[in-house]
Amino acid sequence: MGSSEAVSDLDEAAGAALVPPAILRGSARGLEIVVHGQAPTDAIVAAVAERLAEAPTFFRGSDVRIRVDAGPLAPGCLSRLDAIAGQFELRIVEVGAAVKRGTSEDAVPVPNLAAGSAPAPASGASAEPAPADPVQASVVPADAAVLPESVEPVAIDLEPDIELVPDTRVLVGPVRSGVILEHRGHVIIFGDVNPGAEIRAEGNIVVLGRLRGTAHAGIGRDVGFILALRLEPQQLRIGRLVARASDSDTPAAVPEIAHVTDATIIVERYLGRLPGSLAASL
Amino acid sequence: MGRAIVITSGKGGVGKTTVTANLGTALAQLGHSVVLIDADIGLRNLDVVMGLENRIVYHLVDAIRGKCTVAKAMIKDRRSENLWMLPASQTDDKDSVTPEEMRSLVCELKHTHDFVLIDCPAGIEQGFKNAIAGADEAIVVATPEVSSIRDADRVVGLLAAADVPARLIVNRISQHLVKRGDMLSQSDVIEILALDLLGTIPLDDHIVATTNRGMPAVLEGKSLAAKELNRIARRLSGLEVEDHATGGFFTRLGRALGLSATPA
Repeated sequence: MGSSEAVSDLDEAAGAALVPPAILRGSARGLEIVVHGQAPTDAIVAAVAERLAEAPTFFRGSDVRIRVDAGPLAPGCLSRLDAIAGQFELRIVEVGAAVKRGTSEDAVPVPNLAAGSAPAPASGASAEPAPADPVQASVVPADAAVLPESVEPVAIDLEPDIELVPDTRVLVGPVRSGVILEHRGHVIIFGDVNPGAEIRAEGNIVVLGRLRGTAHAGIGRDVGFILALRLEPQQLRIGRLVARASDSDTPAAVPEIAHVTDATIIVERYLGRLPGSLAASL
Repeated sequence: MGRAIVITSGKGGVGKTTVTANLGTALAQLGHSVVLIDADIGLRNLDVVMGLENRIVYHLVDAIRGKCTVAKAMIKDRRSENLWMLPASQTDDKDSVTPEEMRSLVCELKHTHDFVLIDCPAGIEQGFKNAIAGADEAIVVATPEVSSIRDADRVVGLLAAADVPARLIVNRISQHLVKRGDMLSQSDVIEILALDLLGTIPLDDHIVATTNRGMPAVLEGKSLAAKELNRIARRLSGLEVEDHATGGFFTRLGRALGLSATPA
């Protein structure tokens, strides 16, 4: 969710008739379809089909997130959207409420952070200082850009939530050779997990350090992920799957995440968000 | 009241006994009163490395069983002032002593000596538990090999569980092998074990020769390994606070030019 997205009252002010029933847009996480919840189902479906037909091959195979603007979707709408997505070989991985933003993508300029021109929160109380004072102009914008989201929490946009088991276990490493740590929930470790150590969790495993031992996530659930700042494990297990580092692999010096896709353990760079296929499976 | 320090490693053959013999000798030469305990019951060899094998009459198990006094079982090393050794039994096994008995023995020796160095057997079973029972602190010896580090890591975990603070000696490091990329470096070892470093002992042929002659290398004191062992002893006794890893100007200059024996 780009914190640069501006919140404004424009869309409330604008008549529903001005709002298109559906918009396709690219986001940092892939393709998004923003649906106007008040629009008739037929109109929505038609609009989506029309937009997708404009470039039938361009989106093929992508993951799609549906954002519902202004109210819930009419019953049956989602299944019709799903059918259309199927036609274009798209996969709906997530449905959630839209982050409120200007009616038209093009009409609302992305706030220029450097100039500190992010719009004030929806309350309209403009606390924005004139960028005359160079010191303020350079300091305030960061806050100003963050404010809109904190004013209007978009918790639903974080879905799918990882259920935070009450007894998520947080511990400080290093977890040394010979230690077997078993836990029913998620495990978060500040520090290294050394070779010869093993972490077993029914939930997910996050290592804020080097994971050089063995980690087994998603025991009995077959879904889950293992995330580490340096993923150099002896062995990774998720559910009933086992993977081991290939002998030729030189470990990447970046955070990586291991998860299950198509009954295979996949390791990829962790870029600050859960991979789409993983997010869909949680 | 002295300090009881256990020298341990998990893996065998990494140099525990040699380090114990040399550190003990070096500490005694610094003027401390030192007793070395061989806790490797059944496989004693500290006496061999110290060259005191032929003087053993009583041993640790005798002293604990009350067959003799502790003082009588201790052998005085005549080459150094204030250096004694308490040999292990060769016929008993590790279960013939309990951790409580070791603890009270070590406690007794701490009253009369500045340093009690305990040479721990390899492994993590009863012998290890006995050896660490009376220790206030531990020195973990690791060689730059994956297997040694793995075992050392396990041992560090067990020491932490027993509330014994540990420091690290990296033994038998060869700078030219490290430079060629054929050996783990000192920092690789530290990175995994996450322990304070007491010192790094270079791989040195001299150690092999002196060990076989039953003459601790620090008594001759010329070799690189002996110098480093002396330095570790000074650091252990709090005489040398300067960290050799940063070193003085000439050390750093030498290292920059690739001349230094001690690793960066």
